[in-house]
Amino acid sequence: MSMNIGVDLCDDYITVYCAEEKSMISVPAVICREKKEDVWYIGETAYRTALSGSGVLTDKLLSLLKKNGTSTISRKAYTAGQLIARLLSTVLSQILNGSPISDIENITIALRDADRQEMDGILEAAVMAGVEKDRIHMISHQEAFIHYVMAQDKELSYNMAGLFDLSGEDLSFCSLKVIRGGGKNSIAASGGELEEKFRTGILKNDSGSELADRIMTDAAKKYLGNGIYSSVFLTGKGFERTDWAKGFIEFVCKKRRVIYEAGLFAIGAAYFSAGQSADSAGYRIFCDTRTPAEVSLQVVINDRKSKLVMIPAGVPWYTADAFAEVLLKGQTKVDIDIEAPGRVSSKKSVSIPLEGFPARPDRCTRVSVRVRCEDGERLNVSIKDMGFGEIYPAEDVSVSKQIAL
Amino acid sequence: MALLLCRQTASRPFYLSKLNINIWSEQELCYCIYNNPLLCMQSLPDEGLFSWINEELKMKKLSDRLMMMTRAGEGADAMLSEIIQECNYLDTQEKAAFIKKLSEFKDLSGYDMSYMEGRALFDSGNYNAAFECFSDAVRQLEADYRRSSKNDDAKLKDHNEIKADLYCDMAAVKMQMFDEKSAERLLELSKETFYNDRAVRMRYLIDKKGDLPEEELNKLDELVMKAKENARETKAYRDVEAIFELDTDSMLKEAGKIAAAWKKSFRKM
Repeated sequence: MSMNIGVDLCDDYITVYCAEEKSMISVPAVICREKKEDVWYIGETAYRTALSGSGVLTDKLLSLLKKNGTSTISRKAYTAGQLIARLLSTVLSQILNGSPISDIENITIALRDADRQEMDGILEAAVMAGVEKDRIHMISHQEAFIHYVMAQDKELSYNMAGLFDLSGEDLSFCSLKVIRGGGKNSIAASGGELEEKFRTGILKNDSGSELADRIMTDAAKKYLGNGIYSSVFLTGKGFERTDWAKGFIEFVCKKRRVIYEAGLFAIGAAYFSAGQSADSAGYRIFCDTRTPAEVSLQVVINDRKSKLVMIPAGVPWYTADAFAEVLLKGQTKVDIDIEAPGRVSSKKSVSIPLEGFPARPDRCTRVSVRVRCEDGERLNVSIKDMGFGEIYPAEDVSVSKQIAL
Repeated sequence: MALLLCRQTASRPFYLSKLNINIWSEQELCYCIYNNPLLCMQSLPDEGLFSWINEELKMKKLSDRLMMMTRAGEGADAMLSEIIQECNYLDTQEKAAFIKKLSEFKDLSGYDMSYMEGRALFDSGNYNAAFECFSDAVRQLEADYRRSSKNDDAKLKDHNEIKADLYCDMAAVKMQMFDEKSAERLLELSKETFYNDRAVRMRYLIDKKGDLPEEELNKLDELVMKAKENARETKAYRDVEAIFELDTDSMLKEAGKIAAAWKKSFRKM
């Protein structure tokens, strides 16, 4: 039976959700190897083994990945990617309940930050864990939130929807808005880590709880005061119990529905895997893992001007990579047009002169134009001389430019 | 100023024998037709091309139309016009002007067609084929003369003058092929057909023999010297000169490339 999996991977924990079985596993994102044998443990078992002295624990695997770090255990160096691969394969085996990893139809991994280097590392780790590359998708927490909300009752997103994520040492807020009309309905999400934060360890005592409640209430007044929110979602270990947050809960519950969902990001990611995403419901998505603007070229086809859209707005920038071949007619430059939808004044055209390209008669130089998103804000454009068949052979000349989206 | 979209590049090229070139896209096809209309009219529209247009360029509608036109007995000019219209290369005005030019070729006599084809082949460096076309032009010319009802002295003079000029063109082709003996024979034939200064001047340029006034000879010598000076300024000459500035390995490598290019153009002859 094919399974669609959603994974939420952070430094603190890894949560995996299966869309078909509706089952979830959440364990601390730590891994431990026995000192004397090649036996590995994850989660609480890893902690116990390390505490007993018979194993070596490695935690904060994502931070290790960002630093290109390694962990030396029993004189062998393991890369962060290798350790994450082990963690993933162990957790996936548990959620698949004995079924092979090849039964995975799609797996979507949600990360807190939309960072290309991190995504590349996680993708590699997932492949090492035995998942086929074209079945792996990478999104952010913001995007997972979008897919989760849009799968719920429409009333919850009638106005804005907010999300507070409290875990370990991190507190973040995300807001989501559905924009209707103007051709195609869109969803825009934004947010990030808040300056106001606290360690969830302080919730163990009364004064810490009081402080935490005050911080949360102030944050809620600040961020929810900017708009009308139909709903507020709470997720993360910090909200497993809310008896410490009386003031905060009282505030957010006024004229809003408040929902706690433990593995919200993993569930949202699983919806994406299963094809129940906001995209499949016909929405265009704008968030930190989607392109904010459309990238196009003005071309001529049979004497008529036409817009060739190379990268549409609202698609995952991680896989946004397009190329086209054009013939130069009376010009020695290529203009790339960038336009954010819904904002006419945002259209800009960036001209890239073809310096160093060989001089040939008009309409005898074909160039390949490749555009690739570096991240949600930057676009790499590279243009290469393709000559004109055997009439004018290609020369090894190209130009590149990075453009702000 | 514009960027013309390139739609489909072929995975397998189409070989244009008269131009000795492989083409890989609709735009290259259009370029060859636009710049060599006569050669393309004589050789191009055939079912091999139509299949290539369908299978490689994925232009099935055009391919189907060309097939229908063949079955209906339409001329090559009509088929080339169809290709020009569909390819994303020329603008509307250029297409209209070119189609008009193609239709004018229909009114050319057999001699004119052969001669112009020969010139086009000569310009493209296909000398053997150019010589064949000029020979055919001579035959066409003689056939036209025999068919003509009005064969008086004036007509004969014109006929011989044209034929002599043709022999000079054929001699020029032979010179390009380094065949001096054949060139000399053709120039003699040209003078016998109709005594003309062009044949005498060309003969002088080959072997410095010729009964021309001294002033004329000096002008020819000057012409040769200027041609040599101009040749020294060309990119091809400078490229060869530059090779001698390189180190031994690079020199041999670059020399190899130039030799390969010469061999290729020699094979094309």
